[in-house]
Amino acid sequence: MKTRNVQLAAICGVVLVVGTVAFLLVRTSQRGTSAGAVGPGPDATPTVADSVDPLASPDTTKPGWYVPYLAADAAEPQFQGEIAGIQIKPYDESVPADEAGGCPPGTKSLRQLFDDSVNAQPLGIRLGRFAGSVRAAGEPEALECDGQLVSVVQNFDVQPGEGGGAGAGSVRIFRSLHLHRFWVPAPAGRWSEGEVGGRRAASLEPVIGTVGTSAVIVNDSDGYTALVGEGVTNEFLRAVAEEIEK
Amino acid sequence: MKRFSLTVAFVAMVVGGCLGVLFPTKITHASTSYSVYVYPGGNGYQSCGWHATCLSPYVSGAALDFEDPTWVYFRSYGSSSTGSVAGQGRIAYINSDQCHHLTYVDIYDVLGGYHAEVLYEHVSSGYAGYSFWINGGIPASTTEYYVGQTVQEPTAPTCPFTAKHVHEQTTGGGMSLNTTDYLDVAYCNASCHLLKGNWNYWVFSKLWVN
Repeated sequence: MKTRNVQLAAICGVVLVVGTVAFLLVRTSQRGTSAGAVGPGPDATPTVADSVDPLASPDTTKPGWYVPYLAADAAEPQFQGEIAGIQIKPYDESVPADEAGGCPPGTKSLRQLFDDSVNAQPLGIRLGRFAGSVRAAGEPEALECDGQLVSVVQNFDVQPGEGGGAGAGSVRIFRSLHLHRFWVPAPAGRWSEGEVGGRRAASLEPVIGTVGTSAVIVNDSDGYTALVGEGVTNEFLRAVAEEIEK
Repeated sequence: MKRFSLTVAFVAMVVGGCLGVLFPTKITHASTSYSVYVYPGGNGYQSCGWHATCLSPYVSGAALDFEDPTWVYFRSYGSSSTGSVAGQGRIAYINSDQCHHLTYVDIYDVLGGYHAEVLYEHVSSGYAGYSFWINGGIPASTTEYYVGQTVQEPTAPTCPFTAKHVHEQTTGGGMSLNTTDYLDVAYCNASCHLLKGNWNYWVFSKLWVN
């Protein structure tokens, strides 16, 4: 009888130990494979960015992984010159007011408008198939000289996942009927010449992935259509530009 | 007896494993809430209420004007529920037509997700591409980062602007406007000289959860 009790106790002990171990092992393995359990998240305070080698493959799960790339880009000389017939350079601040800026030669009385109706005019920004993913943030701003529309500017939000990256982004779209000059400061290595809808275009790649300012400036012969994006790829900007130019 | 014990152990292992599947650890992805309140970029008085254009005919909008502060800063109070930084600001600069010197600060989270955009118009910046941390924490902490300086845009009839000033506007991300402390352009326009800028009243705010 006594032996039987010992055997029973031993069996119970084995059941308890083995069962508990198996239970914990299964739970632990589940935790490791869950999609909800991620590594370093936004809770972690970013560490010193300079300790990251900019040339190494980025670990995009680390907070602030992109900082050294932006810093290296900002330290490079900014390109000034002509690409695709568009002057990429800042305006000369010393040029007298009546010789510079908004109105084409021979016109005056420049006026600022904020009205969606400008989008019905030739300079209107019509997004076509991108209308759902690229949404206006505020009213378009237009300038007119002697009653004729000469330029339109509007800002847009790009919905998450639609701009070529995982997150959301923004695009600023400028259209001018008489200028071939635009200024976005960036190193020469990110600029190139290409085509959008059969028209010459200056193209600015982001710094890395969708990080850093990206741009496409299409030479419209009598002006330009410029798209400047944050958090989006250059391919996305080109696709939107093609839609606008249709 | 040995076989019996092994069988019992095997069954216990299977049962334990099954229980582990049935009652897994509660996996919680702790969410963190963030807030960024943006303040005036200069120290001067507000010179126009919420507007799109501050010339007659006045049009309401998502911008305030402040008297020429010369030096313009991104200023914010940021917070995060875990005490970490609130995010990152990235500066972009565009000069599209000599009428518009546009300096932008785009607000991102620390993993690079875009959340909002603030425009400082009539401000020239040599800091395009620069980025900076937007401080957070418990309680909220401040950030002040120099982004550029005001410029005298060509005036009418070449450009529709007048004296040097900073036009501070939200241009993306659905930021909230402080319409409690700052009046609409209908009540505060060209002759307006109301609230002092700097850290007195926030202008825009953005709250999000990651």
